[in-house]
Amino acid sequence: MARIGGGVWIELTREAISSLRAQGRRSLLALLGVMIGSASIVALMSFSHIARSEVMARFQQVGVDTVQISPENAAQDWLSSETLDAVVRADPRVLASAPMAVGRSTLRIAGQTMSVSVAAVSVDALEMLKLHAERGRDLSSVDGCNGATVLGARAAKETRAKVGDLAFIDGYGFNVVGILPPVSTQALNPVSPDEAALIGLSCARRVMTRTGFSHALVKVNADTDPSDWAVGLQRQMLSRGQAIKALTPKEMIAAMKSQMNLMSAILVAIGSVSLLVGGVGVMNVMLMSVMERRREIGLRAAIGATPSEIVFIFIVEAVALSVGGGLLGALAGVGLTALGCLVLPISFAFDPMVLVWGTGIAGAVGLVFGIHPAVSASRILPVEALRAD
Amino acid sequence: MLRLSDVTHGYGPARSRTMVLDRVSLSMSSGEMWALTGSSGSGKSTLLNLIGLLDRAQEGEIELAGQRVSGLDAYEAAKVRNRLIGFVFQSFHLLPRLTAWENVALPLVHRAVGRRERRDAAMAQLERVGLADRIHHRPDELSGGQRQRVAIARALITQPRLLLADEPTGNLDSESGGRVMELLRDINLRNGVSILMVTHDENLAGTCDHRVVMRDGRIVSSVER
Repeated sequence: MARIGGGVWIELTREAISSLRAQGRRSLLALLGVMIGSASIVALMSFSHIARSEVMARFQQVGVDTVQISPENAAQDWLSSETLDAVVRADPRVLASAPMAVGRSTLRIAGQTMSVSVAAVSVDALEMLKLHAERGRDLSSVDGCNGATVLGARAAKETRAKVGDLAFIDGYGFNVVGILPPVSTQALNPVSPDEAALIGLSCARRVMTRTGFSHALVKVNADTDPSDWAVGLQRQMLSRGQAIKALTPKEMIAAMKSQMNLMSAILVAIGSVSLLVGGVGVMNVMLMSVMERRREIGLRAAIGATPSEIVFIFIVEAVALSVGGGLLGALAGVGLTALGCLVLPISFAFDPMVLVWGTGIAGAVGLVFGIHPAVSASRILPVEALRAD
Repeated sequence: MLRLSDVTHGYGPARSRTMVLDRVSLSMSSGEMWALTGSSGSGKSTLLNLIGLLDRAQEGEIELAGQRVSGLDAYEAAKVRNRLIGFVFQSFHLLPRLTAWENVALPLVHRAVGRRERRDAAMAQLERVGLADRIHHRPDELSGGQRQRVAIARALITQPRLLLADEPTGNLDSESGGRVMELLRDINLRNGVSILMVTHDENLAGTCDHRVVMRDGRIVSSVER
C-alpha cells in the first residue's frame, strides 16, 4: 500500500476534524466559551492599539516640546503680559510662546444659539496648534479687533453658520471669516477646537471680564527638557507672587497611560477568566467525548493506532475547537471594538495582528486543556473498551 | 504461525489473584482455521485478547509469525496489530458516524494511506465480502449480517496473517451466521489467512480444521479434524 507525504498525522488531522463536525451542537457550545475569551482579548488589544494611535495623534499636532501654563487655580488673577514677557519671552530656551484667553460664552447666529468656548488667540498660537480654516480664512494679525471669528466645526454646524455670517458672542458682533475642519482632541490645548469660537487676542477685552491670559503655550528648544523647564518656571513665577500650574506632555502621557493601563488590566482579567472558563469547557467536552468514544478508542487501538496517535487525534480536536472559537471570537472582538468606536469619541483602526493573536492564544488554551483528555484516552485499555455490552 | 508456551494470566492483586489462564501452550500452523470452544469463563476470550496483543500475558511466551510478541510495549504492539492481525468482534464495533467504506478503510488511516487509495482498497474488500452495493451506507442502515461482513472487510484490508474472531456469529440469526462462516472459510482457503475463532456453536466448531476445548483456564482437548 502506498504511503503519502506527511503521513499518518495528516490523515489523523482530517479524521479529527470530520469527527468534530459530526459532533455538531456540542462542539458549538464548547466553541462559545473560547469565543468569549478570545473576543475580550481581541477587543482589549484593538482598544489599546486605537488608544495608542489617538495619543500619538494628539501629540503629533502640538509636539512633545510644548508646555501649557495657567494660574494655579481659576479664581486667581490671570497671567499678565508683563510677567510673561519678563519670565518666559526673555528665556533663551524658549522658541515660541502663545498666550490665550479662554472663557465660555453663548454664540448666537441668526436665532441659533450654542454655548461655546471662546478662545482669544494670537496667530502664533494658531500656528502652534495647527488650527487652520477649512472654509474661509484664518484669523490674521491685521484683523486686530475688527470683530472677526473662526468657528470650530461643531459650533458652525449646530448654529448653521456660513462664512460671512454675523455671529454674536456675548452680544458683540463678529464676522465669521472661517470655519475649522473637525479636529480630534488636542493635547495641551485648553479648548476643544470643534466647540470653540476663535477670536483675535486683542478682542479678548470685549468678551472676557478679566484681563491678562488664562493660558499660555510655550515651546522650548530641543536641548531643554520641558518638565525641568516647567519646574524652574513655576519657582520663578512664585517669587513674583503668582502660583502657576504647568502641564507637560510627559505628565499628560503618564496620566493617559495610567488610564489605559487600568482599562487594559480590567480587560485582560475578563479575557483571561473567560479563556480559562472556555478552556475548562473544552476540557469538559473532550473528556465527555473520550468517555463516549471508549469503544472507538479501543477499536482504533485494536486495528493498530499507537497511543501517541490516539493522543494526537484528541489534541487536534481540542485545538481545532479552540482555534475555531478563537477565530470567531477575534472577529466578534473586532466588531465590538468598531461598535465601541461608534459610541466613544475615538476613531476605529484595525490591526490584523489582533486576529492572529486572538486565534493563537485560544489555540494554546485548547492545547493546554486538551492534553489531559487526550492522555486519558490513550491510557484506555483496548481489552476493557471492547468488552461486549 | 502462532506459538504459545506456558501462557498464564490472572486478574486482581498478586496474592489473591484469580487465575484465568493456566500454562496454556499451543502451536498453530499457517493457513489453518481453528475453533476455540468452552463454557463461559473458561478463558477463551482472554486467550484471544492476549494473542491479539490487546492485553499483556503475565507469564509465558507468545510468538507470532516468527516474532516474539509477548512483552512488546504499547507502541510496538500497535504496530504488530496493524501489520499482522485482523479482528472480528461479536458486536462488530463499527463506528456509527462512518460509512461502510470509511469503516473498512479505518486501519489504513493508521498506516498513513491517502484517502483515495483507502477508498479504492475498501471498495475492493467490500466487493470481496459481497457488499459492493452498500459502500455508502452507515452501519444503522445495514443488517446484522451485513455489518459483520463490513467488519470482516475491515479486518482484511491490512492483509493480515492471522484473523482473530470472537463469536463472529454470536449476534446473528442462523442464515446470516451461515453466510459469515462461509465467508470466513473462503477467506481462509483463498487468501491463506490463518483464523482463530472463539465460538459456542458446536456446528461451527465442527467445520474448522482444528478444535480446542478449554475449561477453567486450561486446554482440555485439542483435536485435529
